[in-house]
Amino acid sequence: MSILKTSTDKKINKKNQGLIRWNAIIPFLIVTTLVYSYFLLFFDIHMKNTIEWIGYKALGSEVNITEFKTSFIKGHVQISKIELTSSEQPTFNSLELAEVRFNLNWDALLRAKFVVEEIMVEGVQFMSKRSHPGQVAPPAPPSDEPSFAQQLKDKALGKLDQENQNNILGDAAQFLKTGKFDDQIKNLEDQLTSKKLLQEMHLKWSAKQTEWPTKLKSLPTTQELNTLNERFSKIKLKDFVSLQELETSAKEVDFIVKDIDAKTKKINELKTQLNTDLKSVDEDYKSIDLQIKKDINTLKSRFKIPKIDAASFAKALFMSYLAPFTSKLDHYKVMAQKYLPPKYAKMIAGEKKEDEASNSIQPHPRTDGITYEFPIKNGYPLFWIQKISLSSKSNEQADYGDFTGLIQNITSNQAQVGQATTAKIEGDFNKLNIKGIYLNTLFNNMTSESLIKFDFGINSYPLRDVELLKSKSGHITMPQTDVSLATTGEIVGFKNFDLKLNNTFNSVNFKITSEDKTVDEILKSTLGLITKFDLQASAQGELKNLNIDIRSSLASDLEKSFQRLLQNKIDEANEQLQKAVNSEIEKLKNQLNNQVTALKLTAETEIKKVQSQLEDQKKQAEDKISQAKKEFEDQINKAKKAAEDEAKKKVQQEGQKQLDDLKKKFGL
Amino acid sequence: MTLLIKQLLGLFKLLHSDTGQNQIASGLAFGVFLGFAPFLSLQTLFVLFIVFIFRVQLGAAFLSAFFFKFIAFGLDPVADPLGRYLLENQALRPIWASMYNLPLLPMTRFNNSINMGSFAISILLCPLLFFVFKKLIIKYQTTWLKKLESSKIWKAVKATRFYIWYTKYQDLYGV
Repeated sequence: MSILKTSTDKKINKKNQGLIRWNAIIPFLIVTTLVYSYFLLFFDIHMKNTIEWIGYKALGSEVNITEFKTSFIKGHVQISKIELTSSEQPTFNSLELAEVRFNLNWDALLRAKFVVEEIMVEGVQFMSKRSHPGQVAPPAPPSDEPSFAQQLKDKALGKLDQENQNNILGDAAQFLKTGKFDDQIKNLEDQLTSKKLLQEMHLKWSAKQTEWPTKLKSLPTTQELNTLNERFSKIKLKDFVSLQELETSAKEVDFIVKDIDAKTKKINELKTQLNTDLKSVDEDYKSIDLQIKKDINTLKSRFKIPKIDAASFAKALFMSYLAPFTSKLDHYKVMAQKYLPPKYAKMIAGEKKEDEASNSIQPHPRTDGITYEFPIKNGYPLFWIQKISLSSKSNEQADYGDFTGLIQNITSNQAQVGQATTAKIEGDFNKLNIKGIYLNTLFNNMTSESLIKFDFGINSYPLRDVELLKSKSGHITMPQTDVSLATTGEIVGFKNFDLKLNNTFNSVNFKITSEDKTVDEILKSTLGLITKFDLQASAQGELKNLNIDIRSSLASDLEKSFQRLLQNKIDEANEQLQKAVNSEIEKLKNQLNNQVTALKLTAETEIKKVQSQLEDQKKQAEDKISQAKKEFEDQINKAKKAAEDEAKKKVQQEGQKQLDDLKKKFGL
Repeated sequence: MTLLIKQLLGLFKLLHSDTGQNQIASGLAFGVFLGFAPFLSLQTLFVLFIVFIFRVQLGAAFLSAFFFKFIAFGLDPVADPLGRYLLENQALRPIWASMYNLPLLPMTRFNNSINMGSFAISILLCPLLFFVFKKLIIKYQTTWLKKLESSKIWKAVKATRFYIWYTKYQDLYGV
């Protein structure tokens, strides 16, 4: 035992050491005290700083928390004065909450689950003044993908309209002021495609005009026809002595007929060619008519005839007004894609369908064992806020707004809880005259395709200095109005959107300024009578291909007023344009018509003449040869009969002679 | 790291003293638990707490845990069917179901077949190995140590710088 023994060993061995390691208890207690001190003194500050930092990173604008208090024994958390800086106006908060407090369920915490039975949110304020301007992160670099706002603008207006969206009054002004298009019509010759087409046709038919006389020259001449006549007259057609003579004549006639047939065939070919050419003229005419219509429409669009339909007015008037709404949608879309679980974020981007099997609970086979799942009797999902109660009441110090609201069942597993997430908030900001704010939402992730439904509105809120239109020709603003707003939306599977917005503007008055007296008068007389109008916008379909529509009764009213005043001018302009086009086109068209008619007349007459002559000759030849054949047959028949009679007579005479001889012999 | 070295040196010293057999044997036996249990689990924390509070030789526990971790991997093919047998046993099922619904207990991950099998093996081995280790330590201290002391190898070790450093360290800090 001497091997490792020292003097110290001996001392140690003498000590009677107990079962408990007392010298470890003290360090343990020190460590525990340090941990406790950390949580007591620093944890809240560190949590506050962490939330502020995460908030800034997530929202892109400064988040401030005045106080963060926790109690581990009670599982209690209390956050005082949460301020979210508005990224558009950094001197204001987009949202301010006076106090948020909640208790964590210890039973769930012991199961490593986070369950909050109720979160109390008090003192909700929007756009409250900040004590100092908040920090705002620089905007993200523009994405290649068109934003929702841009999509809406592009779809609603179209490219051409977009260029002129603020010029609708300018166009109307110009139109009403002059109503003349002479200057614009002057140079239209170069812009008419139909004219070019007609010129091409003219050239084509000029060529035909030189081509056809040559072709007509190839028709049999009078001399040739006379020669045929002479040839025919020389043929012996009667007094045939022999059959041979008849055959020779028939052959000659046959040659002439064949000659006539050959010439007739040639004439028919020319006739067919002529018909084809005439048909192509008809088709060319049709295409020219179509082109003329197209040209007129194109010219109309270039002539700045104002589009005075309600839809154009609505788009021109309200696109700027709707821009902040669509920008918000873009902002939330980006946030959702960034912070939602990947499977939902991908669905928003339209990449992938939700994996249906991911929510089911089943044993997970592992390479190193099997984890068994037993029936859960009082289990919790990983994360579950059962209830968030919102309440705020204004006081003399601050206008928190008078709000009540209840948000229920924010959870990581709705199927386990068996409840969908719902929210219902109602309230007013009396000081700001914003009354009847309501929000009802439903998020149901228990169906095969998740469903989000919302219904948000404000019964009445004041708006000041709303600029509807600003262009060189005019400026329409609403200095003051009282608006009601109702929006509804349904999002199925994070990809199919159906959003509707309905604004009613009450107690409206307009401020109109226009350099142009005519427009000024029209706008004042029209808008002066309007005290109420609505605005309806909708967006449906997939996010990448939304079908967008904007309508407004103001636009319809404006349409009616402008329509009444402008219609005559428009008709006149259209007529003028038609005339101008016609005068340009008609000249050429007539020229072409004359060319075609002349050619048609000459060719048809000539062909007809020659064809009838040839047909006459052919008929004559055929008649004569048939007559000759008949005569020759008669002649042969006669000769036959005479020969028979002669033979008969001879036989009779011979018989008589022999009879007489016999009589003589017998002496009779 | 210093604590670990200190504990290992303590183990070395205790092994060569007349006392401390129980401390070392219990340390080695608890090491079996630590070796067989998953690294991050409630039972590991519980055993560590016991090892720290009670006079169990920490060096022996860690050393044993280190070696039994490898043995546990090797015994997985045995632990897995044993765990399955226990977890699928109809008579035990109500116990598992109620344990599954209790707070904290699911954090032991008892519902995994390998964890359950390993736990059962360590429960069986722990008391058994305590006595085996104790007997081996006594045997070492009474028989093998004398042979070792008289061996040439040990004399050579005693002459090394490390041994000199160790005796100095022992004198200074009294490990």
